[in-house]
Amino acid sequence: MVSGLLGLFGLARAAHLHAATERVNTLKAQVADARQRNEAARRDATHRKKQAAEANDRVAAAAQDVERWKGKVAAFRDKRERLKQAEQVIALTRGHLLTMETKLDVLEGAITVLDRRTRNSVDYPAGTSTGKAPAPTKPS
Amino acid sequence: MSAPPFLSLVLTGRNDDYGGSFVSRFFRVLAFNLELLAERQLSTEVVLVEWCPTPGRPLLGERLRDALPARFRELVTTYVVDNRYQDAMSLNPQLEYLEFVAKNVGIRRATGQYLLTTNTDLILSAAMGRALASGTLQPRCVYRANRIDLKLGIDDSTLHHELLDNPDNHVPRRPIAPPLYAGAAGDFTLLDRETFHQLRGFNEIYRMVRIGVDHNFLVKAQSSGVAIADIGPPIYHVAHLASYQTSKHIASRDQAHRRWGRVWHNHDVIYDNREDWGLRDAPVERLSDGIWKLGFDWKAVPPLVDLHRIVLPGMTPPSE
Repeated sequence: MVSGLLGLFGLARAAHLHAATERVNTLKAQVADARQRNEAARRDATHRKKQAAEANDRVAAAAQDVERWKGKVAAFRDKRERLKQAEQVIALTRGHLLTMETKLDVLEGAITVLDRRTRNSVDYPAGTSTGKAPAPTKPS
Repeated sequence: MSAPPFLSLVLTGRNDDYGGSFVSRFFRVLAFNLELLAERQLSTEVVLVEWCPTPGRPLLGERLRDALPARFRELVTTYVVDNRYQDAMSLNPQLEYLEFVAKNVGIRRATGQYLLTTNTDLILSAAMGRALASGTLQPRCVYRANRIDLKLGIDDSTLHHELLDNPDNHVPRRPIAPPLYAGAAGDFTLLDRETFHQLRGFNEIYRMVRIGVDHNFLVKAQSSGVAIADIGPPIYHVAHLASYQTSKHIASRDQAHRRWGRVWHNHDVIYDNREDWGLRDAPVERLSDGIWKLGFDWKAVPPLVDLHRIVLPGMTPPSE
């Protein structure tokens, strides 16, 4: 009854006003809280976007690394193959060198033998001129 | 015509008392080995190559014939090689004895199914006798054996298996090992005759050394696809002052070069002997029962230099 009468004059009971004010305050607090959460969510989203961008950068860098290592592995395989070939060439060269040394041994031996045979078969009398051909004294 | 013997012992030596008591040691060892092989009923011949005998001394072959028990005399054939071959063939005037050319002379003329090139002071063990008689030898396989040196100064005036097999009398020595089973290979190189001839014997292109020619043969055999194996049982060798193992430590450099020649590339470089290897074309003249003389003829002497026959293992040999 009193409330209706006060309502005719645009007035409300103090208790109603107080309750309404409290609801408004509660709603205001809820709005502020929602805004805070929204702000936090936005910040979080921004942070995650940044992280995602960084992860993308790292993936791209890793992909580049993979390509670079693939290249290095290929280069290493190529070098290993060339090393094998070089080793084969060295072994063959060494073999040829040893063969040449052996042949030189034989040549040296033959020259030594022939030199000795010559010395044994040719006698140079004392005082013989170097311009004269020596006479063989022990014909073979 | 009698069947060829199972085994030919190919030996070389001369009556120069190399090492002091060479002749008596040789006769004692040979009689012992022949007795062992006879016990095993192995048909055997001995091919002795008397390389360039010392002038003024009786022939080793003659002395051997007189010294051996009668039952063994007819097993021995001696080839006395004219002295001029040493000078005509040597590429090292310091070297006094072309041992492996001499062995080639024997390898070429031996008739056995298997040829054992060995030295005059090498003694076959009882186990070796059993191995040779086992019937398990295969062609195209070079058989090698561990050599056990008996201590210097041991009384070897009477050889018997108890003396030989007693470990107290042995000098430790590194055993032979794959792939070549090298190490004193000249003391025991056993191979079937046909393969020995296919390989054309020991290196007679590089006629400058005695040392390492046996090892070189193993490299040649391996590169030709011939197997190499340890036969199992050992052989024995009585150490003496002239043996390589003993005297290599005390000989002067000059003495060493004269006896054995210089170190060479025998592990790496091989050879392809001429078709007439082993003095094929030397004229043969009978001196007496079982003793033949290889007379001198320049036709039998290979050229001093034959460089294209010095090859690497695995390389295609030159065609004749």
